[in-house]
Amino acid sequence: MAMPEGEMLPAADRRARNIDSLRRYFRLLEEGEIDEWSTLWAAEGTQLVPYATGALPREINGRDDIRVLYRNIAAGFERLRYLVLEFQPMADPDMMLARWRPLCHLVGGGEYTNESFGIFRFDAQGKIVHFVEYFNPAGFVENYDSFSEE
Amino acid sequence: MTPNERRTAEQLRERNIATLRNYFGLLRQKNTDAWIDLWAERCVAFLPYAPEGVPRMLTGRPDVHAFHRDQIAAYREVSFGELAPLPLEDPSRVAARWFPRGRLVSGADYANEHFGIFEFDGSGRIAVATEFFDPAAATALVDASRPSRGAV
Repeated sequence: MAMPEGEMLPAADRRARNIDSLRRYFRLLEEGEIDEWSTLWAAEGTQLVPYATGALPREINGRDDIRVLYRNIAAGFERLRYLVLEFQPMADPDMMLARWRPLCHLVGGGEYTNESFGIFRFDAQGKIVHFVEYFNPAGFVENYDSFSEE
Repeated sequence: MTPNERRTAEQLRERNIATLRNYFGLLRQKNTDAWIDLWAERCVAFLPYAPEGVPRMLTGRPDVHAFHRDQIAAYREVSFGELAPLPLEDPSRVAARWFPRGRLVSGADYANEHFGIFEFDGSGRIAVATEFFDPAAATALVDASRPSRGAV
């Protein structure tokens, strides 16, 4: 049986590749390039949002649904910047802990910011297969309607 | 606790994860007097999503102990589900998810999901902990942990 390319890479190379992917991930979100951003995900990728409130789902399954959700969210932004972006490699080289602080200027006026943490898991090809995102819902809930087109 | 000397990274991770399992076992038993011994004397605990009226930072064993003693006293019974430890490449750090479920002394049910990052010192004690939880759910627990205002 052929071994997937990613499993051939040493742990340090996988970590470096995954950090590069996450740098692209956040840069593409800043640029609003959601279609290109979605290519960083595996087709069967899933996201959990344990503190989701309101219309935001707690679980999104599949790259297509993830892309639609983030398109809707991005449509509510005039501008998005990350004031803090940190990555902490985990013992499992296919997992990464991330911390970020978004500052969004909303289309409807006003700003949104939060203090977010996430755990990303990558497959052997370096695509995101699972992401658990934590943010303070007290900061998110009053703005989600502004993010969504629908 | 034994210092880090001659321990491999994997042994350090195993020791720290064992400490976390002990941490939640002692909390489940409401034994905060033994639990606080898992913390370094000059520890710091961050609670970035703490709701209004709850400190976002606790410094030193006495403050960490007092805060958690009051929190745990608000439960009639509590469990933390299956601890999901997520060790970092740095063997002195372990992230974890846990799932408090309990019945409060007020009779209300309580459920939340927590995510934390624990940093251990050379002797294996918790030096820094950053703990996230849903503040909306936590409000019921915070209210229950406050002394009665004497309404009855």
